[in-house]
Amino acid sequence: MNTPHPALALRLKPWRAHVILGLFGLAVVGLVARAAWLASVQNDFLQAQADRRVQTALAIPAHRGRIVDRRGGPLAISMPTVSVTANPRHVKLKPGQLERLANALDVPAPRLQAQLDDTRQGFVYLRQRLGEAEADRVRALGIAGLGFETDFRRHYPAGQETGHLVGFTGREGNRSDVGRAGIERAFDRELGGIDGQRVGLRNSRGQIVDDARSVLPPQHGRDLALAIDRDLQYIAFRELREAVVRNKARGGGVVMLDARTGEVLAMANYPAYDPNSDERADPERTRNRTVVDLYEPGSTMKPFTAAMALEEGVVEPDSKIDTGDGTFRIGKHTIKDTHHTTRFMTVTDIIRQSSNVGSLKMALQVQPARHWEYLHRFGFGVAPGSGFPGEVAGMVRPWKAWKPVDQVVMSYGNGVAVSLLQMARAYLVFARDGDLIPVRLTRDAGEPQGERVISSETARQVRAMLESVTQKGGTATAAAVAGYRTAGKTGTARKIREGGGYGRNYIASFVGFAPASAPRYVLAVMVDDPQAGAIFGGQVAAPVFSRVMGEALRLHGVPRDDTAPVWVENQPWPVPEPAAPPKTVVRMAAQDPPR
Amino acid sequence: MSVLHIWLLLALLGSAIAVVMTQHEARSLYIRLHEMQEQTRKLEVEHTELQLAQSTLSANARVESVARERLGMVFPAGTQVHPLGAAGADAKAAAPAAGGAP
Repeated sequence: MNTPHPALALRLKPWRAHVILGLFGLAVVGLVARAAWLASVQNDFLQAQADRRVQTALAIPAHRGRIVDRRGGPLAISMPTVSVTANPRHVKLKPGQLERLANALDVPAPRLQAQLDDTRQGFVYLRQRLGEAEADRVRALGIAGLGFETDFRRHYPAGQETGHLVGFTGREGNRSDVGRAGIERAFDRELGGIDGQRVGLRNSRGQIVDDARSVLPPQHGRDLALAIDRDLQYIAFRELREAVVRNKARGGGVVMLDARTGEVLAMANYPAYDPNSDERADPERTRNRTVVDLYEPGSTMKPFTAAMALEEGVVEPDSKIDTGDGTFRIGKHTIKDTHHTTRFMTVTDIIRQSSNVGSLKMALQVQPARHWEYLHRFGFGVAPGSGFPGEVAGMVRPWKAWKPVDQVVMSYGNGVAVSLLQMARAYLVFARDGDLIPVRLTRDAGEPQGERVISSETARQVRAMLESVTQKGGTATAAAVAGYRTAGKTGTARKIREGGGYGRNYIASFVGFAPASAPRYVLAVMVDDPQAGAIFGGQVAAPVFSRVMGEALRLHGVPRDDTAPVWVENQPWPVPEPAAPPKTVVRMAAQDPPR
Repeated sequence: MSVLHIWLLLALLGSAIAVVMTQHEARSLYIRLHEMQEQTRKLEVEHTELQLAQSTLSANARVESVARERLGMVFPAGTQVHPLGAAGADAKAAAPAAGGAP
């Protein structure tokens, strides 16, 4: 029982045990040192490597805000789209998968085959801008080596009607939706969102099981409500296009303002472009002429001359002004009236028959400095303050640089340059009892702060004169609207030629408002270079005014203020060419059977 | 080993298992949360799609062309329009025609 184990009976030398113990000790020291080294010096690298294996960073895309009209109807919406990418070196297709993939991507199979066979490329786009549902079908095929990139595409349901106003977006760096023109550009900061981020922990099956850090939520872009009325915008665009096409004109513009708030209810341009298509490079078509282009207003300026003369007390509405034989000589220039009938004309006659000589006679009784001041107060030479990118202030030269003939021609709207928006805004003064308010493109609350320009008495007098323009004997009977009293002024200005001087091309315009008893809408129409014979504002632009204004009054149920029998010769409504539907990619409801 | 030790051991085992269970539950709930968030996003996208489809289908240009071409409607000429009420001159136009066809 107590017999010692044979091994213990061996008598070994004690140093052997010490050596072994020492070796173990060294090994422990080595391991501790290694651990310390890894945990200190190499810590960051190793931690990063570990994180890479279990953590995955995901961008949470923020979408761009919508642009809507005054009643919430969408004018611009962002929709996510998916681009399918591939690394041809990693894609292994089983038999039959190529056809299924081609089918799901909606691309020809041979082209797909060629793309995937080209293994020199490490990255190819197989299909861009696929809808979410279609992308899910591709994902479901479970093919390795494919990648999916989410992006946003902007859609404009109103297409070319609102193209010039709303503008468009484009890619810039890694942001896919950056405002490039129009409202999209002016309000890019408000509309744009900031992507969020989350870092997730993956399990062995690749599912994300937890957040490694706190989630950074995306900041979506703010929706923007415009003052535009989509229905009025459509009518304005339709009638403008009709007028431009029928008169074989180069282009045109329409601006409609709410006389009570200064809101822009419609702003249409023609020729137009569809912001949904990618062919939008041509600035000739994409430019919002009503805001960024200048033109010589011509006779639509005369009411301001009359208002100035009335306000300064140099004339009364029924003062007789001697227009002689309808011509006026200053230096080597001779100014003529187009239709001269009477020698002694009242101010009302001058406006109604659009007399150049009468207008200049009134202007010449006012000092140039004072004349300039009035133009300035009516908003000429001053930016209208809409906030639209590239808005122009117009051009009114300082009065000290005026030659005598300058004041003469300015009285009937030559030698100054204005934008159509500016002209529409200036007519607010007559529609609103004498004060000028800022124009607004967006729908936001608050009473407009007006600035008094002329007395309400003068505004009322000019309004009565403008009303006579659309009545029998005026230059714009075609602007009349059955059941309503309308007021306004025609303009027919010769265009300045490239090398200076006036050519045989004209700009026909009409600016007015209705109902004249309590104006609700101000409407300015401009047709650039009509070539089909008719050139006068009363022939070319006034009918557009009549149709658009008539529709607006009717649509919004504005009470009629004219009980006189309808004497306007109503031509049958022309059939407009069918509008091209906007090229939006829409999953049509027709695909789903009605339930 | 006293009885106390045994109790402590059992308590330790119990809490260890509880930790594993809650962790598992937290993770499955998290996965579910994710799925729900993804579903929310998808529904939002679908909502946007439908809004877009609705506004495309209700676009004035389309409504007008359907009215003209498919339904054969026409715009009334100005003289064919008789506003009701308001102006007295139109009262007779507003009154329903006696014995009108049903």
